[in-house]
Amino acid sequence: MNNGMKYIIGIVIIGIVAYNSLYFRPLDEKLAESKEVAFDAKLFVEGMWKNDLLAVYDTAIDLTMLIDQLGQNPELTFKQEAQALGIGNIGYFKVKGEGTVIAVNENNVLLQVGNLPVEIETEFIFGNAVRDASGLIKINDYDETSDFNLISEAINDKIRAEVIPPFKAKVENGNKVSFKGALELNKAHLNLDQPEVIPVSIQIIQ
Amino acid sequence: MQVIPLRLVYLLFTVALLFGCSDQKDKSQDQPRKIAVIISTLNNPWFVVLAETAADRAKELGYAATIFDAQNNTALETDHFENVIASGFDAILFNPTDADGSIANVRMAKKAGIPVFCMDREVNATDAATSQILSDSYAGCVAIGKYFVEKLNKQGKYVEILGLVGDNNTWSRSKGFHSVVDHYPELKMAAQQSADFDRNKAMEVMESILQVHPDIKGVFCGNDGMAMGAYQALIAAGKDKQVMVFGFDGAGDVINSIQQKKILATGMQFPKLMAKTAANYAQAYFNGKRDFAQKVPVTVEMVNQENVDEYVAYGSDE
Repeated sequence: MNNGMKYIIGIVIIGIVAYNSLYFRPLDEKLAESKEVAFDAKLFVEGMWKNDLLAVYDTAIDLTMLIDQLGQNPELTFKQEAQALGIGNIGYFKVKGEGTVIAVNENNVLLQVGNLPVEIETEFIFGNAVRDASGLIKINDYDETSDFNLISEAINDKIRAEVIPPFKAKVENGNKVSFKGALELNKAHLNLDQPEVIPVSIQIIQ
Repeated sequence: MQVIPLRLVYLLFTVALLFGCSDQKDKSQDQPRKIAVIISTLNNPWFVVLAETAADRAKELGYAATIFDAQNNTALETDHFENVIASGFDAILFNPTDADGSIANVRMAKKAGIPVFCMDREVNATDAATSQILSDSYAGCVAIGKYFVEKLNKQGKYVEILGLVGDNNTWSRSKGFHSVVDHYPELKMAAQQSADFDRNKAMEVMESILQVHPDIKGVFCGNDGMAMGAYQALIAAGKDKQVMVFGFDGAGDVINSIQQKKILATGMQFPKLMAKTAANYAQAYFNGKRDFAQKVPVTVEMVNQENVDEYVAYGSDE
């Protein structure tokens, strides 16, 4: 075999190896591929909604009882009833109660619960209150903090899509309402005048 | 001439060796443990508070403490880690420059047997740092997002000025904010640009944006330094009364500006609390504790026009 033929064969072999070693793909295609295996918060929330999340809210403390306890001994009540992720003043409570509708506002429905006015949020369903009050989901179970935050967004989306609309469509002044939900309070700046509850379930009972 | 017997030489050598070791041991017992405080940048008063509080707390606990400034440069941060390891420091209280780029530095310290406690910012690994004490930036910016929507009455053009794009806090804050604001289609984001958490850059970015979008109603900034920079640009353009400015940190000048109604709101982080917790964790580590939670969130509280009188800069005087 002459030298020319050897060079040609060598170049062909190198070409084949190089062709099969290198390839170019659009970056957005590659990123989309990595998203496919990303954590699916919506699926996670669907899977735990009824048997885990709603079940744990069945154990919620009566709201008027909680407010009474907080008025008497806030430190102890936070210790016994609040859930918190880490360090700080903010605590989240699972609460339930019944009340009478006294106003249907753009962003909330105002209830009279015993002697207490209570806001049921119907517009600003955001943040981590429902996730964290449940005590079911721990930050250290997630490598990515952003996945942990996506769980809150998926919970809030579900409340906005499935809990609020059927209630908001029918509610009127004077209705008697039963609710379970989450309450966020700051123990260093405690304000118990008009608690704001994000509902996980709410029904007109009368 | 009298010759010293070989056995006597051995004996003297052994005794000298033993006493030498003994002296060395006594010296190491007498010297305090050394804690390094490595901070992303000291060109921002918030990080100065974080660094000084960490060092002061370490000294209160009886340790020697030295502060290192990485100047937002991961290469310089690596130099500091190498220096700290070679100098025999016993623990590192660390504010990373880059969530991904700083992982190798933390691993280097771990390999050398030095515990690392992250403060405020995280690294994107759960097997590198001993523990990460982090502001819950996402939740803080959800609260700011709600306030933003209320104050802008759910409509209008706005601008977002981001921090360092390599820092997770930048995106946690942005995502928390957008988790609220994006539900309101009448709120239009006219521009989103990074100013690297830097006051002067934010001023320049805001000046440029105002030339293209003179009709904006609000600006959300990923930290208070950038909020002050944006506010300066708004004053220069005569638009400080038209545009509402929102920050994040709880720095002294912004708390004053909220009181004076120049800035609408900020997210109060607690740098002193995080720094003291990190130093306390280092002490617990020296005392044998090993079961630290990998991530310890520290709550963020919104300071706004309605509650500003209840807060002081950096969350506490303590």
